[in-house]
Order: sequence, then structure tokens, then C-alpha cells
Amino acid sequence: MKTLALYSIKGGVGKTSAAVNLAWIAAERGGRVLLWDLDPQAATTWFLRVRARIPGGGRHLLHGDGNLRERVLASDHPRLDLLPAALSLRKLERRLERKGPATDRIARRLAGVAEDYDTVILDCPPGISLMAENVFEAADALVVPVIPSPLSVRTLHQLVQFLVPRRWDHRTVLPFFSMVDRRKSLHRDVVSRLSAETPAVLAASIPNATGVERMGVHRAPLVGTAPRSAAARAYEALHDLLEDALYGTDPVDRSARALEHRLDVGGPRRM
Amino acid sequence: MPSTRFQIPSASTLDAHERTLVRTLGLSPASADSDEDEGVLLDSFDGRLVRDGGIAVRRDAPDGARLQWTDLDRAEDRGLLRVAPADTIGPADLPRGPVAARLVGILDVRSLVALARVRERRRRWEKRDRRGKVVLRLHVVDSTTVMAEGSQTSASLPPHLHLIGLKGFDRDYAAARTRIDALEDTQPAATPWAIEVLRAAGLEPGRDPARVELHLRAGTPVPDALREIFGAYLGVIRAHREGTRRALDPEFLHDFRVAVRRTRALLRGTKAALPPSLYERFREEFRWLARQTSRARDLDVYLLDFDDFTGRLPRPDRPALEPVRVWLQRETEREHERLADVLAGERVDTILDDWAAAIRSDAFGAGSSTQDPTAGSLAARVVARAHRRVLRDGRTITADSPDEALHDLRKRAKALRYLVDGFRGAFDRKTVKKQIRHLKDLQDNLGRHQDRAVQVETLRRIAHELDGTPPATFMALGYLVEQLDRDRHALRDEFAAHFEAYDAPQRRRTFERMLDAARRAEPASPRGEARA
Repeated sequence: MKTLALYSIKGGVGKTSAAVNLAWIAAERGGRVLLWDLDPQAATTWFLRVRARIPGGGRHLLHGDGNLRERVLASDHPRLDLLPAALSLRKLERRLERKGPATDRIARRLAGVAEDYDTVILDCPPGISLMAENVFEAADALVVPVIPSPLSVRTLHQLVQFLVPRRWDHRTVLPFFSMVDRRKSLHRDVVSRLSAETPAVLAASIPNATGVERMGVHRAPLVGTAPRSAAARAYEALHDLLEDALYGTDPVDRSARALEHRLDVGGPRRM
Repeated sequence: MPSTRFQIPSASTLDAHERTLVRTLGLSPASADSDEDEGVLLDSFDGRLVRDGGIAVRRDAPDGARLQWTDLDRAEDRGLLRVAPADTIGPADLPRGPVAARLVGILDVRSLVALARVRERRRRWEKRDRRGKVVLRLHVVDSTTVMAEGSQTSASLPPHLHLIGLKGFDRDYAAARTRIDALEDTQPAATPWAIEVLRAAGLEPGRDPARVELHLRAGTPVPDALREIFGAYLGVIRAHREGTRRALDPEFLHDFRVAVRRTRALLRGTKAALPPSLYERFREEFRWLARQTSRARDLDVYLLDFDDFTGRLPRPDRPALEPVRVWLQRETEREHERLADVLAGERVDTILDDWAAAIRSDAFGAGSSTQDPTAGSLAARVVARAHRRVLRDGRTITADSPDEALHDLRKRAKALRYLVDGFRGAFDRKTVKKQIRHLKDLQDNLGRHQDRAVQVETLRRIAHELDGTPPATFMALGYLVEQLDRDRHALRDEFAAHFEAYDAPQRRRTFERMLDAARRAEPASPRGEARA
């Protein structure tokens, strides 16, 4: 089982859209997938037409005896399950802190379902918190949407600067461009410069398309409702690159340490 | 995921139930599914998927074939893979990824082979909640036609309803289940769907044709016992002949060879019970047949072990062994082509047909009547002799003995094992199980030692046969040979401890008591009909 966390310090960068579409693609390609909505906004849960309520309650989600298996709901796709979120998740952070600084609670919960899934995708709330540290511990890779703007690139840099001095310097970090508007010269410049100078950024750009926004109308992944659209194809390409980075022969060192070095050399400071 | 299939006695009852359920459960037609579904059921030849509670169904579509792996009732989806529309799918044919890795975890080196074709006419319904989320599925199957692979005759299954719940929506499932239970003439199916389909095709799902079930006991008359054992091994040889000829996967050849070797060991052991001319002829014929298969099996094993070989090298040196893999693949293909011609030939037909006729003949096993009144008596005599030989040869082996001495002992131990296995039913069940375990331990040491010795020799020979190969390959081969030779020495050093444990006085006494009990068995009445 591989765990991917759609994560960014910054909000509104396309994490949820990417999480839902990537999970759908992974299930469509044949794997058994668990999509865990960790964001109290519960947008992923809403996209999959599930009530924003955590079966068994959020109080014992990350501690206690309960098994994740009992809290999972099947989505409409035969190989995609969902662990829904609810607004009550906002209290989880406080509970985590009260229980102590452990960062392995998500990892321990996932170990209980390791036989059930090939891929787990975590849709994470923004910000660096104890919850985020639990995500860093549990994930095989952090998949980071980056809007091609100096501010968004700066948050990527902040993330690796946070990971490296801690024990996550070898954690795989897979940034990709999100909400790209090719009409904007700034977007074009940032994409071309960062792609050329830091090969650790995945060569997939999710366009800022209305189709992605319309997911909210259909309440279904774009790759399901408009599989031929440019954005759907971009998600497919992103999925292929992620698969290659995790299972394939991708030769690039994609650790947080390597990314930090590349960003220092060619990244945000020069933008 | 909860699911129940309900058998319905007729199509008209099914229609009536469908109308009722659509209305009362508030079902709507599921989209994007055709009413006709056609697929090919696949499993390994020895039924590994079914024994693991699953089945694979290949469906061919204009954009390519897909292999769907589910539980036996198709309620739990275990994975989907894009495959070629072929009737044999080997581990190397599966696209890389986690699903293939799980599947290969069950299949190991075995290929999936097409077992039966199934065509269903079904209507799919689903129930959605007020958010539009699917919470329940109902499949109404009014026609199922099954045809065994390669057969022209078909069988039909009765209509059925398949109620499928979704994880986390148990209440909807329970409510629907109660509604269906209340309908007349609905009976939950006792057998999972895939088992029902495979049985309708005349197959025994999950059965390993290489595993023989023998019913002989210590008191069984010798001719009956020999007919049963030789007949069972002949069945295994025949069952694996075609798969070996087509090289569907390496296990076909392995099981074919084991059955031939068991036949040879039993022939030698029971020589006195068989007409001399028959013994002489088939001893030669099966020896010839065994020899035909040896090189192909050796090459198969090298290829199977190749990843282990490369894994022994430092990572940067591993690609240097690629020319060796290519050479092995080419040689293996050539040797299998040669073997395929042999197996398709008349000589093999004649051997197997004549051997079947010989087993059925009245003279078969009759030579034992004075010396051994029962299978137990014969078994005790031949097993005791083979056991004595193992002990005698093993005790003469010292640290200075040549490797050949260990190889000869390995052959002795194997012959003993085949005899004990063949006459297993004549011995006390618990004791024989324990004795086989002790023997296995010794065989394992001897087998691994022999494998390493042969691998070292063969890799040296390959190095001579590889023309124009880069120096890096020779260096990698040299490194590998050194590693394997080190293994061989370590196994050789361990031999004494393994043999000493096998030769322990307590174990020998238990073994002898087991033989005594078999020897003293009272004769049972003959079965009359020949089994072969």
C-alpha cells in the first residue's frame, strides 16, 4: 500500500480537485483506493455525494480502539472507498495536541487497512500543524499543488525547509503546477523557469479550467464526467508521473532534501 | 461487502420479483452497462485463485481486453488489469503495478489459463439516496450460458437475483434483503457464482490436478494398490502433458516430471510384483521420457532464479548479467520447442496408452501374491529397503567425500520419499506425516546443495559459450559463481547435522514401528474393478 498526501501549506491551490480526480483514476486503472478526507471543509466528501459525517464520530478517529475499516464508505466507483470528513474534524487538532505530540497516529490507523488498499490518498487541510506532521509521517509521498506564482512557490520552499531539519528529509515530495492560466505571462514564466531549473517538479500542469470548477455542479470527478477534457487529460498525465515516481524507474532524487537544494539553487529566491 | 444471490425457479417469477423490487425499493437503471455480458473465467491450472476465494474474468472490448479479479460471488472487486485478449496470461504479461503484484503473490510462477466462457443477460439496478449517492445494487440475471474452454457444448444456469450492498450502507442492504426474503420462491444460493459456473462447465474448481488422492490402506490387495497409485500418477502425467507441450508455465513441466519420477521410483521399488517384460519395457520408456524433460526444467529453474542471482550482485553490476539472461531465454525457448515435438510425438502416445492398458491388465501386480499379501506388506518391504540405503549411504559420507556422494544420497532420499508418498495410506497417518517432515528436512539440505553445485558448473559453462560478451559480464559471472560456491560449501558443512538428526535412534525406531504396523495388516477384500 502506498500513501499519497495532497498537501500544501497554502489553501485554495487545487488539493481537493486533484485528490478526487487522482483517486478516481487510480481506481479506474484497477487498484483499490481509499480516499481519506482530512479537511473539515469536507469538500472531497461532498464531491462524492456523501453526507459530511464521520461514521462512529470524529472523537475517536485517530485514537481509541476503533478500526478505520468500520468507518469507510464505498463510493459509486467499485474500487474507491471514502473516509469522509465533517466540520467536527476541526476539533481533532486540539484533541491531538491534548493527547500529546505523537505524529504517528494516522500511520498507525492506516496500518490497520494496509491489506485492503493499493493506494491511500489523503486530502489534507492547509497549514503546518500537528495534523500535518501526522500526514508527513504517514505518507510515502507528499503531492504538492503549486500555483505558478512567487507566493505559491515560496510556500513549497517553506514546506521543504520544515521537512529537512526534521526526520522527513528523505520523504518524497512531488510538486506539480496547478490552476495554470496560460494566458498569464507570470504563469508561463514561472512554469518554464521552475521546470527547467528544478527537475523535481513533475512535468504535469493542471489548467485553471472551468471544467474543474464544474465538478461542483456534477458532484463527480472531472475524469468521470468529461474524460476527454484538457484538465482530465492533465490529471491522467499527473497520475502516470506519480505512478512512475512511486513504482517505476524514475531516476530523479525526489526527496525533500534534494528539492530544497534545487530550490535554493534555481528556485524562489531568483524569482 | 455484503451480498446475496437468490436463485429463482423460472424467468416469469424473476420478472415478477424484479417489478416488485424496482417499485418497493425505489430502484433506477444503472447507467453505462449493457444487458449482455460475456467473459472468460481464468484461474491457474491448479486453482490458486479459487482456493484464495477469487476468480478472474477477462472481457474483450474494442479498446482492449481487461481482466477483472473479484471474489467468487463478484461482490468484492479485487482489481482490474489491462491484458492481451489471450487465453493464457503469464505473470510477465501483467502490467506492472500493485494489482499485478498482489495477483502474482497468489499465482507465483503460474499462468492464468482460460477455463470457461460465460454469457449472461442481466439488468442492473441501483438505489440512490437523496444526495444522488448509490447505496445499493441489484443485478437481475435471467440467462446464463456456460461453455468449458475448447468445448462446443453449453450448459445453462437458473435465473438469479444478486443483491449487492455497499460498504457503510448496511441499513439499505438489510432492508432490501428483508424484502427479497419475503418474496415467494426465492432461495439464497448455497454456492458462489464462480463455483456454480465452473461446475456447470464440468470442472472441479480449485482442484490441483497434480495432487493425487489415494484411498489404498495397509490391507488393500497389492494389485489394487498398485493400479491405484500408478493410475493416479498416469493421470497427472496426462493432465500436464498439453500444458508442458505448450509451455504455459514452468509448473506444468515440473508436475509432469515429478509424476514421471514417482512412476519410475515405484516401478523400481515394486519390480517383483510386476511381470518382468512389462517392468523392463516401462522402466526404459519412463527413463527416456524423464531424460527428455531434464534440460528444459534446468533452464526453467535458472530463469526462475535469475532475479535472485542478479540480486546477489552490487546494484551497479546487475545490468552486466543481462546477456546471460538473454542467452538463457534463447536456450530455454529452443529446448522447449524440442520438448514440444517430443511430447506431441507418437512415442509418448504409445507409452501412455500401453502403460494404461498394462495397469488395467490382470497380470498387473499379480507377481506379489506369495511374497506380499497386502499393500502394507509390500510397502513395508520396499520402503524399508529404500530407508536402509539412505542410512547406509549417508553414514559413509565424510567431510572429504566428493559432491557426487551427496548427489547419490539425494537420489536415494528422493526415491524413498516417493515410495513413502505412494504408499502413504498403508501407514499410520500421524507417524508417516512426521517421518516425511524429517525426510523433507534432509532432502532440502541435499537439494539446495545439489542446486548450487549444478549452478556453479553451469554458469562456468555458460561463460565459455558466451561469445563477444563484455568483460563486465564475465566479472559479474565470476562474482556470482564465487557467491554460489560459498553457499554450496555452507550447505555442505550443514549436511552432517541434518543427517545426524535424520539418523537419530529414536526416529529410526519410530520408522521401523510404522513399517511393522503396515506389515501386520490383515488383507481386505479385493475391489474387483481396475481403477486405471
